[in-house]
Amino acid sequence: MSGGSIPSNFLKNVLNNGIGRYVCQMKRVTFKFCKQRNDSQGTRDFIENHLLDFTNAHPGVVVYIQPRNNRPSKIVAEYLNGRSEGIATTKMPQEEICQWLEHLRTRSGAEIVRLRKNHHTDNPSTQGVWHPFTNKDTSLNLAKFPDNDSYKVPSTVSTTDRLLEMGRKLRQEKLSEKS
Amino acid sequence: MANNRVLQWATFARTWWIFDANHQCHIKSAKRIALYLQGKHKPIYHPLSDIGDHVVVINTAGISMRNDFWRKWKYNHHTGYAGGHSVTSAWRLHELDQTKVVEKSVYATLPGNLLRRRMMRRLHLFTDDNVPDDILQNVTDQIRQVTVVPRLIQEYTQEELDAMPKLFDWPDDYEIEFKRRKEDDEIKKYLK
Amino acid sequence: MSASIRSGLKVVCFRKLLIPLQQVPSRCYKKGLSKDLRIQYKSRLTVGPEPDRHRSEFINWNYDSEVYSFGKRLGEDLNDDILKKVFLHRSYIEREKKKIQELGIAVGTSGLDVDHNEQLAKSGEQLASNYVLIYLRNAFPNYFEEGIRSIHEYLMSEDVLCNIGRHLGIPELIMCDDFPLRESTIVTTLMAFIGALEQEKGKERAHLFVRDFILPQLIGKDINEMWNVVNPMGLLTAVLHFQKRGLPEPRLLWEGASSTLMSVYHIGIYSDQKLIGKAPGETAQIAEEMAARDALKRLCQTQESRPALLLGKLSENLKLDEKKVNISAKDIIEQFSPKESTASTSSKSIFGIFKGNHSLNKV
Repeated sequence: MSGGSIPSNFLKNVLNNGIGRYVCQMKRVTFKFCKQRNDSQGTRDFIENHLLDFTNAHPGVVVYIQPRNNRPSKIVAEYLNGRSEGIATTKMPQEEICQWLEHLRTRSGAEIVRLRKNHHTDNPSTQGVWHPFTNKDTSLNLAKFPDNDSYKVPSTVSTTDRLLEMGRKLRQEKLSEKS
Repeated sequence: MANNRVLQWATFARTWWIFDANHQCHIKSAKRIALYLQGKHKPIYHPLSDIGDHVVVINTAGISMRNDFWRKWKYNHHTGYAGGHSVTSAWRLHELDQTKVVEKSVYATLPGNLLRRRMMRRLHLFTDDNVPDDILQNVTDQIRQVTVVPRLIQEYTQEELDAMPKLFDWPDDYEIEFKRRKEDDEIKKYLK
Repeated sequence: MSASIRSGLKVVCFRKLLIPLQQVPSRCYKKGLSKDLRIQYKSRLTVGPEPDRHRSEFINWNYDSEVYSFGKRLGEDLNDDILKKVFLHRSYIEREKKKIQELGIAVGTSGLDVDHNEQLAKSGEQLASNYVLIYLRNAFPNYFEEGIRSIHEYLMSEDVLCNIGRHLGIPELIMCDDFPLRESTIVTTLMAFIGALEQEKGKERAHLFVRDFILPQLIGKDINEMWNVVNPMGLLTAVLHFQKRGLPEPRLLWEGASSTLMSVYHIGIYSDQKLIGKAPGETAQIAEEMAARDALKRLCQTQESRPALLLGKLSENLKLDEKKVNISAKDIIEQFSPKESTASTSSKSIFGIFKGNHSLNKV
């Protein structure tokens, strides 16, 4: 199974959101629940106890309550990029619904796919990307190849030369002794 | 837009290197050359990126082997047909084609994957200094040698030779004779 | 069931009836389902896709709350009536008037003498345009006026502004005649919002809005590509002459693989024996052109490694010089007369610098 079969995307920020000011990407949230069923008890409790706190804290989010007879309860959040996400809240206690609502509020509305990279940058290099001539001297341009002298193994004094040098020194000492 | 195109072109540009193989150990120089052919000398290396460079090797006739490997090293070859197995000594192969020793060393050093043939195509071998102009024009830098090139006796001046302390020397009338191997008819076929 | 076991079965049948009939889900291959699905699919194709509906046609819609939230979401404290005015277009009012006329009711009594957002849009656009220019001139103090204008044109272009509008949730709130919405309508509404901000909260607040939403669209974009200079070498010569420096001398820095298809040349431009710009290229000519562009970027201080724009928190105490004037490339070129120069070989083409660029088209 190749990586192309499962959708994936790079990390993106909606309209450079945090750079200027932060705008909550969730524009409206709809609570759908049944007035009678046991499944929606959590939602009903949430609406009773926690909903007004939420609306006061986040005036930028429009909250709709949609009671629907004999249907499972769910939260549908709509985002500024046009997408919508739903969470089925059947049999959930009110605390869990609070958590899920917070999760939805802090999302960007982008689809959840595998991220190819966990980072993104518009300016990957400030000093310039490497190229083969980055640390090379421009005198290479004028050099004539093959230039054998400069590219030999750096020469050290050979054993022969060392012996010759030792011999020369001994001879000098002998001469100085004699004199 | 255009700027990025040009910068990318520069980063992925293929450089041409020249290497003087005179008196260089074939294994050590093969390791160095293989490094450049694969592109492992670049910080942007990736095995699948195909960012290896070209290497021009000159003076392959002067390639050297350690100790008595010239005599002992055997190259095996099988044509694929029945009775097609042959064994060739290193010295014999070098007589027949003076680039083959270097070529085989580099081929053996490169990783044995499907990219190897492509990398070998970027290896240009020349037996001596005579490199065609269009290839020499491409060369941008030289690879440093791997073996110390000793001073040949021909490179010493007469004064230096006279000044060298000697324990003994052959008498003037002594004749140094060495037998030359007879010319093979088989070799004559290939050496033209 | 066979007759031979009927006697025993009678008791079994009776027992079975006492047990309530339960629907047990079958775990087998549902033969009839694919047939139904195929019928569904075909009927959908014949009927056609779902028609595009406006958001207000759905049950969970309250225009007042939506408009109120829109203001709050953006962090702006505006009255509901001014916000509603922002979204009200002339075409909507005209349509409503027509409807009422068709019904026969007099127009004066309908309460449709509300203002539309045209005036606000005009003032908003003027403010935004002005502020963007001032900000850019201060952000790139050494850049040419033509370059600043081209960046401004990009930022105030319909595509960019429409994109911003869409991501702020404007399209759903607009009251206008056309559906599906035109991009220009979204842009007008955004400008009207800026105008409303200026009217209610003052220029500072409106400037902040422009700085928070319109200017960040430059992030990740190459500003040098927005201004199309046809002859960068000519412009560079003129600039150096204006600055009383040595004329540009292009020199080859490095070259590789010159006889192959994958040749690369690095060319550096020197002025008074000092390197002012360098760039690589596929051929020597391309490299020279790119090097001239690089030199211009460095002179104007718009190169890639320049410091980031001051936006958001960094721009809290930003003070802009509103009367800043940037140098005009045209003036520099007019000063540089081709008869006097002897060193530059590209002097003949200087007058062709703005070939086709008088309309300042977006790149």
